[in-house]
Amino acid sequence: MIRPLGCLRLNNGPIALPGSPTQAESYPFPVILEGVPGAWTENVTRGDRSVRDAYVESARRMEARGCAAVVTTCGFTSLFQADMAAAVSIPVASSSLLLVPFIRGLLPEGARIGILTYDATRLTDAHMEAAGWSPKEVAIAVDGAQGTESWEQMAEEQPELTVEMMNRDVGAAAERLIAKHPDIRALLFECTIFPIASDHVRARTGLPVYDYLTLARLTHEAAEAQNTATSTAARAAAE
Amino acid sequence: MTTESPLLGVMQLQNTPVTVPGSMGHADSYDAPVVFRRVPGAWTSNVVGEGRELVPAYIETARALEAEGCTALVTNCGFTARFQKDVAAAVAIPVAMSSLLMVPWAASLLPPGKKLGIVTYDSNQLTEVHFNGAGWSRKTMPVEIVGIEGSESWHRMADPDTKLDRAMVERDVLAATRGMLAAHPEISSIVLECSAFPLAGDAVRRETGLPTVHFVTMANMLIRSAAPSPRAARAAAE
Repeated sequence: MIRPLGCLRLNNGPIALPGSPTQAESYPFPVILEGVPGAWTENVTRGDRSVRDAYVESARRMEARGCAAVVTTCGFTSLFQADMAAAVSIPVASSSLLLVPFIRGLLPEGARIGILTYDATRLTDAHMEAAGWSPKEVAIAVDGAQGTESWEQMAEEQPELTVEMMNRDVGAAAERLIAKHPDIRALLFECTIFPIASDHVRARTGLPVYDYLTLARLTHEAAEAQNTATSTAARAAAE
Repeated sequence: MTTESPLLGVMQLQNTPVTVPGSMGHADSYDAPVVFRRVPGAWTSNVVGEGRELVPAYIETARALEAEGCTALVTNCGFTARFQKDVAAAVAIPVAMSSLLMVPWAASLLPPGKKLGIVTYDSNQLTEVHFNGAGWSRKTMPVEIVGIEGSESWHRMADPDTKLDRAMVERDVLAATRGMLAAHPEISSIVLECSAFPLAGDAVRRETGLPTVHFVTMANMLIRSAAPSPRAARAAAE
């Protein structure tokens, strides 16, 4: 019996596309998705701290429901990382921004991490520091989807996105950022909806892309099952 | 040559690789096809230490695997963390020499006052040079470290013809982990350093109830995130 991943979601309507954080099929293990009262794209990405207690309560509820670990569908909730982590005894990974020190460790000297976010005008040093690192110590460059059709849709109560739209808008942002900073050697997607475009951006830029699903899988694997391949091999060996 | 599908390269020691299911030497441990390659001159005995004479051999092996179409690289000895920056600078594809690279991530998830426990092949030989290679320092990281030195697995791994099984590794890693947790009950997450320890990953997680990551966890994260056709190869082809 594999314990599920608890996913604290914004209340914006689900997005039925491959790689979407609100699609159970995006996870190779069971997932419980639950809306956090009062949390929407618009207020959470604007740094609204009034939803902090709601996130903490939702994390507790996920633990009570038997989840192995907790993630959220908005990377801007790194602001609540410490509060949620302190409130439960299962691992909490609020934001793919938490992966930045790992990615920096992989890169050679002089290389930069390109961060693509939902809205670069709203991602602040506070979001990064709450994820355990400082932009003063890590070479990064940030751009986002702000102003694009995808950006408009993601803020809608019922987002109407397509794979083509996401590939176009996230791909263009990636190319723009890389053109400006040729020393970028890895991309990190803050936004949990961007994994819809991850494979496209990997193929288009030739760079590794670390995203919300990277974090969700890593955190669940740490807390619960091995990766599928290993579990399969172990099962085969046991039979 | 370029590739359009993921291919993981594993740079192995000259010691006979452990190939039981779930180990780093078993192809089914990975989410992608894998190529194994021995690094000339690299043995447990000389990788665990502080000399830099093996850097050129790791770089040459990494470049050869990249030329053969690998899209990401790992090693099978976490002590090669000290070569991380050298090898990463020599190829365009992502390289992860050691699961010690996951320490900053695992530490960032810790609640206040908690610590990370690292279980290594030999705690007497794992030093700041390895941590720095993996991008962090013990001075600023809330970690406790324990090793399996003196155990049967430890002796076997130093043997050029390494013979290990899951039960032996589980026994020795669990014994070390229990000792560490008894001395440091504030530990709430575990990183297994040694590339043989994925064999004990499930047992450690089950017995301690703590989140546990290891080399196979990282290798799969790396290969899933890598581009199907790396940038340098694309640039060369265009």
